[in-house]
Amino acid sequence: MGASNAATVLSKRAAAAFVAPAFVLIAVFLIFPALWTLFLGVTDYALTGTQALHPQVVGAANYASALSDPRFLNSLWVTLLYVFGSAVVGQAVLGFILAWAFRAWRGPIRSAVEILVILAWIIPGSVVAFLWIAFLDTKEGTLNGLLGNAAIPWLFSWPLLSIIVVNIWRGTAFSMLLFGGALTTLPPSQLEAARLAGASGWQQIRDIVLPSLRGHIMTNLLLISLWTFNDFAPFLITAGGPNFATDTLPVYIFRNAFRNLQFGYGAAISTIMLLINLVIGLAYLRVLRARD
Amino acid sequence: MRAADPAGALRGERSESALVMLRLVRRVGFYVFIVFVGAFFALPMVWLVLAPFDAHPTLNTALPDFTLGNFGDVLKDPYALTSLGDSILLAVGTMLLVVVLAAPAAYALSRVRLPGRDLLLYLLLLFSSIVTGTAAMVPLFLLIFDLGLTDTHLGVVLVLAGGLVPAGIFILKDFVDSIPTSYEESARLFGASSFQILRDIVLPYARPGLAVIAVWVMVNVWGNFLIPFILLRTPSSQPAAVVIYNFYTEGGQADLRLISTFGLLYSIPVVVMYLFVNRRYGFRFYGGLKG
Amino acid sequence: MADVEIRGLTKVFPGGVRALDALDLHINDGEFFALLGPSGCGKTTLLRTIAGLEGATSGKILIGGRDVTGLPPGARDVGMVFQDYALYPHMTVADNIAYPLKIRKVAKDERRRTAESVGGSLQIGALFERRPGQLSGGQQQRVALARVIAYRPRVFLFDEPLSNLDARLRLEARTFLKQLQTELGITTIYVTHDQSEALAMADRMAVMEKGQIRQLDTPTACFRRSANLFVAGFIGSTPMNLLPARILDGELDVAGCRLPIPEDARANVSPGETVILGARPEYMSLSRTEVPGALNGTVRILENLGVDTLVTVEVGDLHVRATVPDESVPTPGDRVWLTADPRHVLLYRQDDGEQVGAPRAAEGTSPGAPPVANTPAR
Repeated sequence: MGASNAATVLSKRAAAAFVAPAFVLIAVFLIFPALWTLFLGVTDYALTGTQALHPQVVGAANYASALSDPRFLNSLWVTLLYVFGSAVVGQAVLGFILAWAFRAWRGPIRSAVEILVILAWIIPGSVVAFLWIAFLDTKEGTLNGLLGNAAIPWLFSWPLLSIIVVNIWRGTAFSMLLFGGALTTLPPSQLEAARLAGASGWQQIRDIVLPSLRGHIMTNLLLISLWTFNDFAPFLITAGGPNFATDTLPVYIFRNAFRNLQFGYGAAISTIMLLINLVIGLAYLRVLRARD
Repeated sequence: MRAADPAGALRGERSESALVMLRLVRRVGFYVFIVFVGAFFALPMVWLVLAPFDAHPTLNTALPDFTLGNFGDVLKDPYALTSLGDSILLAVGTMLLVVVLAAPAAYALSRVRLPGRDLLLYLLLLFSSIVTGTAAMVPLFLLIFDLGLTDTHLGVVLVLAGGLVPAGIFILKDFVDSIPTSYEESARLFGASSFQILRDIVLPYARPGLAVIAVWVMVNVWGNFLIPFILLRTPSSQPAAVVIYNFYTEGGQADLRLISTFGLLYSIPVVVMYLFVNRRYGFRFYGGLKG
Repeated sequence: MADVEIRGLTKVFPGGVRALDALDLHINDGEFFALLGPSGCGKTTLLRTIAGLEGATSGKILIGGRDVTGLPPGARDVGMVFQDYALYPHMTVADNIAYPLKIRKVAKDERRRTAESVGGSLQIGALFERRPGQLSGGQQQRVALARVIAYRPRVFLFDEPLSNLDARLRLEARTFLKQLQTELGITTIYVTHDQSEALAMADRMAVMEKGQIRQLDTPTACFRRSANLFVAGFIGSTPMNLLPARILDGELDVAGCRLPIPEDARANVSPGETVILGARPEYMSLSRTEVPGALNGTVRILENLGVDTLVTVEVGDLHVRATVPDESVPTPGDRVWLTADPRHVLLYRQDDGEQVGAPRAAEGTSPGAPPVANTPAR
């Protein structure tokens, strides 16, 4: 494939010229910010005031205050619940169930459900946020209407649950498609052999499907965890409230940096967030390498 | 293994009707589940298709008091239409930048044997998934600020492109790998330069890949909220993602006619794009994840 | 241990494809029964319908006298070896073999013991801790066999199990399977498209075409007395001679040569009728001197088959083939006389391809319902 006659096809100079613009962009807007945030995190940089003109290096002060700030710890905890509840439990499980249900099923109902699931994924985030604000509204929301004109203040009394449900609604499509593709790689004869041996649907899933699809499951979990962890949608729906009940890490960073204008502090939290991303990302890389 | 079991045979006969019963229950349960799932996904969306046509929409989903007047109102709003224009500008701009940067890079990386090339690509991909707009919002803002690009579309395009180019290269490289080198070699013999080869031979062949990248970038940018939100201050340059948020978080009564209609208009292009891609290429991830 | 009975089994796929057409079949307890036919004939569909992997559109399936038509696959007590073996890549060989027992809630040590004894008898004991990915094709096949044997179902179903093996291995596996089945005595239904395989292994076989059974008989009978042109053409390593013939003056006229009409067909033909004469090259004898009632022609082609030679003789516009032992091989250009062994000459009707004298299919019934007796298994 490809590059056996590399020297004649593309000179090193031309190759460098072709790659350079992309690399410059990536270096400036991807690599540099990541590194710079490490530096910013140890300063007290702010956008206004003396700190803007003469930022001081404050060492680990930002990190120390973060780790002792109950708001930060709350944010971390909320994010953990958010990721676990909506991605790991919600999207992956529902996505798998749908992929399994759809695997041998063709017809208008299946297509309709599939399209609905995917539409939920495609509609822009800002619109989705409002659709759910409307749906969950205490006085006029459709959900309360369906529940016999109940007046349950979903977004006020169960905010975390609400955003978890919204995220499940939003993201299941990806897991459904990924598992759907993965299921096509499983030879049907393996499941048939199990059926003939008397295995029920659940036993087939437990003994054959899940072990065979382990790589796909890991890939999926890591990706959706990463995406959910970095999801900014809670800001659009509840802005982190009420009373910081949905204050995920992205919302927390935003508030500290862009409302309180504490850029140094915000950078420190960003670094922490980047580190967590890195851990998840490396785990993903590990799984990907192992599969090859 | 199994002794002669006349009683068992009898048991078998009885459990046959039990089996049929069980199957019926399971089937009914399955359909109930599907209906529930379908309703779960459909219900929140219904408002989006009904309210825009309603003269007096409420937050509730209701049959519309039919009118097309709301669309006229949207067109009159100073921010709605311009923001759609801004969204298009950002989407197309980022798409062009990504394609122009990723295509030559993918070509070069496909053809040149660099030691550790594959590792480099993986690392790059990893990097772009780690350094997301959300995680790096602080340094990105400060960078754009220091470059004097706040409140410009260019700033947004650069940031978004920076995040999307690595995956773009990754996807395109796969496409370019499958193009046989013989075409390029014969062009070389005719005296064509690398750039001419790229432009005249490789790119036309890689068109499906370019289409995939283009659509993927545009869909991504169309829905992106955070980066334009922090980088663009002037309302008239903010894309629809931000403007519609402004509409429903502004103090006072939210104008539901405006929000619903604007939201529908804003959603339609990506839905159309999805339907197009689905018709053309099918929307499946066969066997594994390709970006 | 059980016999298998199929009554009026029809399977229509969505889209209207009639894969099985009102089949009637009885397979005896302990019999090795082959389903033979070209691709698309319905043999695999029939097997899968018996297994329960496909649902029947109408008709009944009985195993051991019990109606299993409505039962799910797991409740029918059948075992199936698939073409791709369907071994679970993430389980060891031992776990693969024991899996059906695990489903049947057999205790762990007993599972292990059974797996070991079955594995031992199939000579795969040494492979127990390996994964299927580390095994050769032949070894995988034995593991698939062991898995099915371990839980002792009443019927074995084989879906072209040898087609993924290379040619040499296939012949060894053939003998091995036949011997195994004889020892175990479990009713076996075996699908194949390879006629030599079916002929070698089966006690009885059904030759299928387009969802219908064209002949149901012992291999010998299918070979020697093929019921119709389809079976005649499908069975036999060398193609049967199928020659147009006319009934003239109480004899058969084939390209001008006069041949005697076989005794048992005499009553079923009328003067002037055109039929197709079928005679296998293996049953033709060649003579260099003139003999009565023979086909007279010139030798054109010789093909060496090892022990015999296949001689193609041009008789008028017809090409007639005969297998001739080494010693008597003629030279191209020789004039020779070919006699067909009258006990092995068959006459077929031109319109429906069946033997002359076979009952005609009534409107709408399957022409394949054979009048040939269901001879009991050897």
